[in-house]
Amino acid sequence: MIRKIISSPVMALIGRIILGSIFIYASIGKILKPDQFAEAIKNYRLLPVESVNFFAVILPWIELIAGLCLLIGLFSKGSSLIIALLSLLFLGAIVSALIRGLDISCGCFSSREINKINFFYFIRDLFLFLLASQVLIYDQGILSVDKLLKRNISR
Amino acid sequence: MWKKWIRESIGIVFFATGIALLINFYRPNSLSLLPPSTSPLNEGYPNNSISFSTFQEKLKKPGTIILDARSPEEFQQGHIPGAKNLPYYEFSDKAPSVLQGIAFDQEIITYCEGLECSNAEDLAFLLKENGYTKVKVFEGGWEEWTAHQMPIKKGKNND
Repeated sequence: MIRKIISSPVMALIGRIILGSIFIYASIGKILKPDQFAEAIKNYRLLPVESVNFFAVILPWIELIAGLCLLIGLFSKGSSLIIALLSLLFLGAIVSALIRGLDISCGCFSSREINKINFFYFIRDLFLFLLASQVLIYDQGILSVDKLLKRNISR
Repeated sequence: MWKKWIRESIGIVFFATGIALLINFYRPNSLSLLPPSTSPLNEGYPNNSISFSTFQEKLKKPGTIILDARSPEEFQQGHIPGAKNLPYYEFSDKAPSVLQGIAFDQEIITYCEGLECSNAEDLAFLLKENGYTKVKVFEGGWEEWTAHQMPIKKGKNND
């Protein structure tokens, strides 16, 4: 039963909508305030300082475009692969910050989050990663631009 | 199949990167992608820190302001006597009241938990951005202070 739900294309469609909406929402605050997002990245102390601004500029746009693609079902597989990898990246950053006991905010949605990183963020990102993996494996393009394009081409 | 997925992903990443860099180039509050020496993000960070002994000397100087950048809960559990609590993440809310009466050229020293936390540096950065010119960071922070068995004060009210 659970296996059937997990492998269901309808579930993949729901996953696409959830992930797409989350990543679009998460990107907007960061795009509007890149300097604050740069600070959030810097606080993790994982990247060389000289590369922080570059990632602060491009990461939110990758989230936004991948989220949009996932939502409308354009390049669903490619965009879900990106979102799975991004979730894995964020998961790694959170684990590393938790292990090092860093006293920082997540910077996941708004760059000026007050709450500090805790185990909840780990669970949340793990859920996002699993959902993205489900979409990647089981999505069959229900209500997707991919399918629409395919149909038009085959006519 | 995987090759197609990877190709699609790379395409999306390149497209997003292109748009991101283009918009960053034209937007008014663009981020500098130049090396750190010219990036505003790192201004005031190098040579901004002071050691425990320097911190002790500065404490003796009248008019020196000590700001604790940790959370109100941590501050309540124990802080350096004389310090005021200005959590980095609550800067915009609390700064007006905490910084009231402090002159822009007055010496301010920030601290947080210790070497592993960056809130003191970040707070110092915000203070400098807001016009305070003599801001230093006691890098060893609370950990070094307590390691030297220095006196502490408990309670939530700012001294």
